[in-house]
Amino acid sequence: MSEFLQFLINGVAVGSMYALIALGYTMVYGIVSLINFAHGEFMMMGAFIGALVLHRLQGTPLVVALLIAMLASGLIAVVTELVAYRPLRNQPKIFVLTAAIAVSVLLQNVARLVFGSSAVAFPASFPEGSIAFDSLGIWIEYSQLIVLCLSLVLMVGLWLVVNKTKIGMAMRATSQDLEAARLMGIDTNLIISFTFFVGASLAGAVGVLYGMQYSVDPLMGVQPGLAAFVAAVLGGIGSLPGAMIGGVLIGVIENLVAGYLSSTYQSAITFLILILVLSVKPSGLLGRMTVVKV
Amino acid sequence: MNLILNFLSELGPTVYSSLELIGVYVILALSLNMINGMAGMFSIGHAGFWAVGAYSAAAVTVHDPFGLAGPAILLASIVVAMVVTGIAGLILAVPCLRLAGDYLAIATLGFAIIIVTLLYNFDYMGAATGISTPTHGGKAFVWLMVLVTLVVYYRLQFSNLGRTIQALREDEIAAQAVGINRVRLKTLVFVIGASMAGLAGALYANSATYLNPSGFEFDQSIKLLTMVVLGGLGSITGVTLAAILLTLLPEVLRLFSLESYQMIVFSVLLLAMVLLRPQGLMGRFELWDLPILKRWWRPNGAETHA
Repeated sequence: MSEFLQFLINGVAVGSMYALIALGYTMVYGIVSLINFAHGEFMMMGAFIGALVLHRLQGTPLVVALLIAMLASGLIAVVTELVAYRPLRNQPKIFVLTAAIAVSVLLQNVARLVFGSSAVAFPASFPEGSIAFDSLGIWIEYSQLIVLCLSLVLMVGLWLVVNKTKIGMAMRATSQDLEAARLMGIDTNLIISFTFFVGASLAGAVGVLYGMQYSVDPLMGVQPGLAAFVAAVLGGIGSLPGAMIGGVLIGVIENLVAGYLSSTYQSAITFLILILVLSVKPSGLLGRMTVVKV
Repeated sequence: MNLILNFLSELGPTVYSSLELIGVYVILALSLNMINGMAGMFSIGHAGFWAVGAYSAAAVTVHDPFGLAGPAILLASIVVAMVVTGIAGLILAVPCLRLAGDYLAIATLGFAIIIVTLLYNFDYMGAATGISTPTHGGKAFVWLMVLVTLVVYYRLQFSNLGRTIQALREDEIAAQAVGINRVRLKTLVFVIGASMAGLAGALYANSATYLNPSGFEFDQSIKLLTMVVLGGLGSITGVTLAAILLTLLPEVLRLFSLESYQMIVFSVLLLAMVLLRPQGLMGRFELWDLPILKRWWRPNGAETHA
């Protein structure tokens, strides 16, 4: 029982990071119906830029480095959208997807060229130690607690932006009906850029957290990116609460699989979940079903 | 100047020694072209099918379960590879093809990742260290198979079935309205494309002396996608040419010792093509549109271009 609870806690900690990445997928999908394959790379870029800031400017507070990483990831996403996705918006979907894959591979290899291909340790780390609950036989590490708290703060922040601000209202309107939103005088291009910015800056924040917990390398965005995508689909793509729930669920399932079976098959299980969701309930847990009409 | 002369003198031997690999990539690119170009689906995990083909062929040639020898074992390995890969395609297609294109993309990507993960842990076939494979056929045999593939592809494209597939690509709803069974047809294309990749895998297992799971990672799927996009989705002539050129590209980069830029070149090329020339290098031009050939070579009912 205590073993199970421990896996559960580890799963929720990783899952909250997946949830933050999944939010970016789901927001972008909700607004332009595009699976942004490069989203995991925005996270990787955030990790590298955070590490670079801490490495070059010794003594920078971690919070400042985190904010710079978020800003930089957001800007990379805005530029990506402007250069690679926007010109293809009215083209067949297959071309935008191809562009997204190309950007993803390009960013990975640019990072490999600039930062080297081997994994490097992040310049900062979480405080060591944990809170033990002896009666249950489980413990929560400080790092997990910090990840959880920060994820919660960011999610609440996102919720406030989407639901309580004017630009958030414009985002919701654009995702409901882009044409109608434009007719109401909303600058939809600006809203799309803003959505990419917000989604990628969340991914950038995860990059820093992920880097602190594990290490930084050019391919670090691939596995969490795919897990988060599956999380977004599981939760119902286009739905923000769905992405959060999906992220935590995927994190928990991965940890249970790794704990009871083997960590080798972690990503295989993730994709098995994807295929199951797609065959049984493609709209996900909280998504709306869309029907293509003539 | 010296560099260029040096390059030209090395190009010939490089091309000659890459002939088998070129043939393998031509078949692979054509098989992906059938799925992505002819049928308008979107697969980005094609290296997974290639890996299944290569490893199931190697299982036959290395472990020899049928007790064969010589060319017979090569033919047996090709048949096994094509059947196994076709079944893999069927298993993937059944849950995925009912869905929109972008989900299929992710599912194929996941499939490719799972295959590579399994191969890394598959002790019977050498796991992460890889496995040595015997060679039973030379360059001529590979190119004979390329020729067969080209003829089969060409015949299929201008057959009743090929036209139905293309109608489905152009407008799914209209095609369904005239009685085309969308799921059945797409599954069929997916299986044919997969088993063609299986053929390429068997040929690769034959000509490469050594198989390793790392040779079938995601960057290989990206290379294949670049070939298809560069050649023009759906074009036979364009994709064949693009496959030849892009197989040689890493070799050419190596001559200039720029091989570490390989994937940057591929991804920039891919991005530039979709942004600037999405119809591919030659658009809808095919070999039979050449004025010399036009008079006596006309595919059944093909439109005239150029």
